[in-house]
Amino acid sequence: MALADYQALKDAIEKGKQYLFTKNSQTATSTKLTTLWLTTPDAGAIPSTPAACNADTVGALFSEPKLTNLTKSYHLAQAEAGCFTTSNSSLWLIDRLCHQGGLSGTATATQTTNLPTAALTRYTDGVGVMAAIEIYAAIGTLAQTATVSYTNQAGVAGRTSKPVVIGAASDNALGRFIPIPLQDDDIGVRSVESVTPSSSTATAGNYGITLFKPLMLLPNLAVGIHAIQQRCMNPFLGGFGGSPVIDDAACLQLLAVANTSSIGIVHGAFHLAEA
Amino acid sequence: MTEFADLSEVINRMTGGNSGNPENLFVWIDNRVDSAAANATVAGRMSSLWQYNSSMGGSGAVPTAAAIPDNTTRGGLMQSNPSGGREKWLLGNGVTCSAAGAVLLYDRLLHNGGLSGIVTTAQTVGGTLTRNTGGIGNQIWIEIYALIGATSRTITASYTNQDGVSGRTTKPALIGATGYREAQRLIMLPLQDGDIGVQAIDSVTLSASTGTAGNFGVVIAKPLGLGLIPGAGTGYWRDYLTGLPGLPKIDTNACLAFAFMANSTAAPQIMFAAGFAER
Repeated sequence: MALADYQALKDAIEKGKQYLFTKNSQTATSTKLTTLWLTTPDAGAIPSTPAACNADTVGALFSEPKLTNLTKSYHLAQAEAGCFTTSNSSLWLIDRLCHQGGLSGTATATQTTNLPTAALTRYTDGVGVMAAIEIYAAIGTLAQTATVSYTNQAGVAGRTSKPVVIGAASDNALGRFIPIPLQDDDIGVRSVESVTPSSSTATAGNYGITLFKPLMLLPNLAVGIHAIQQRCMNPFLGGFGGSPVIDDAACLQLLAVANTSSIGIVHGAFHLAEA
Repeated sequence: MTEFADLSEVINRMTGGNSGNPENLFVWIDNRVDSAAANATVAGRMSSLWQYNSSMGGSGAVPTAAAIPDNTTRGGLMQSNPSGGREKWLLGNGVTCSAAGAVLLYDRLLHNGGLSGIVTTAQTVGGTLTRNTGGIGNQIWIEIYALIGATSRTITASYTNQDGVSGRTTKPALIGATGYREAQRLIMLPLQDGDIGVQAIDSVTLSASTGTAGNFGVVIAKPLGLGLIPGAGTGYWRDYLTGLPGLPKIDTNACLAFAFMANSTAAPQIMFAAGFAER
């Protein structure tokens, strides 16, 4: 449902919901994307068999009140966040659609363990859905590449992604979240069927495939000016021009990127406008 | 053109009211070109992200003869066209990035490739614009697709300006040698005195051979918005409601593509988000 005008937006925010979140400092790889899925408090679990994620999945933000218990639709209307660090850091808010784990960094051939990924239950046509490699236990220090075989947004199976780097110091650590570029002309993913590494990274570790839908970027939580710097952001005014509707069953989580080896403690809140 | 009446109308349409058809797009751009790492960027110079691997369309192809890329051409943002006789507007965009610099969003109006770094006579460009055909604000860029030579030269373009006057000649710009020869490098050509746009490009001419043929091409680009990334791991939000250059109208079929002004040699990994609405 649309908001009629500016007054309706203000009213909707007043009647809307506020969801607070806190995540402890997370070790990261400088300038590389890091998942906060396993970051306490309210950490998620390492997946094994393929599973669809929803608002009830342990680790999901916006746990109470459950959006499924509400009768209205909700737009992401405001965000505020502070990051206890002197590093540069930014966050992404994503809807974690499905995940699996148990893939090995020592594999030298196509892996199908715990694949294909679970069927999408949101954004089911796959348009705009992204795939990522998520590392749950450090893999090896040898730099390799990996491609995935996937079904695209048109339902065509057997598509092959562009290769991404896995392994080596920059792309092997627990928490690394590596989005996967798609085959030419594709604009989304419905499922991933297999992963093919170029060779062994030398340590098995544990990684998996996560399908997700980006919802919001929160750049510049701290830029070295203060150890604590709060940012307040409104997608309607001063934002990026989009205020996505949050799906009732969304499994919301944060990703982070920083220019040091630590994300820092993150506190903040999302405000939903009730429409 | 039918402008938004006021802030209330923007809010209404960006939440789906009155056939606003809001579109929120996110694209991940990796610093690789197919199976190879992208070339290092050069601080203070522009690089094209056209060929970078991405989650939206894969990566852009190297053009040959002059062609008009559009919103179905891989390498661009691949946004949908407006419907029902409405126009599409860019309300804002956002970025997080692994490297400091600036991201320039532009409409890639025309491009070609297959030009040589060793040909010393005029090399034909050609093609006919289908968007922003009046030419005002259009720019001429050289894009390197395969390494050209190590000898520093200059390049000029012969073009038709915004008034339809042909035979205009750009100022010379450096090409060849380190920083001006590697794939993905963009070189912008300043226009002849008094000109403010480009309708067509007849040809480009090197001052002399750079020493290696390589492969380069010409782009006619219409810049739409610029965002500054103050440091690695940071990014920006650009709200065109409250900041210059105002709400950019997105032409039907526009090929929205990205250029990166680097602050270091670190080729960027970028998450780009954009919000659109129709009116």
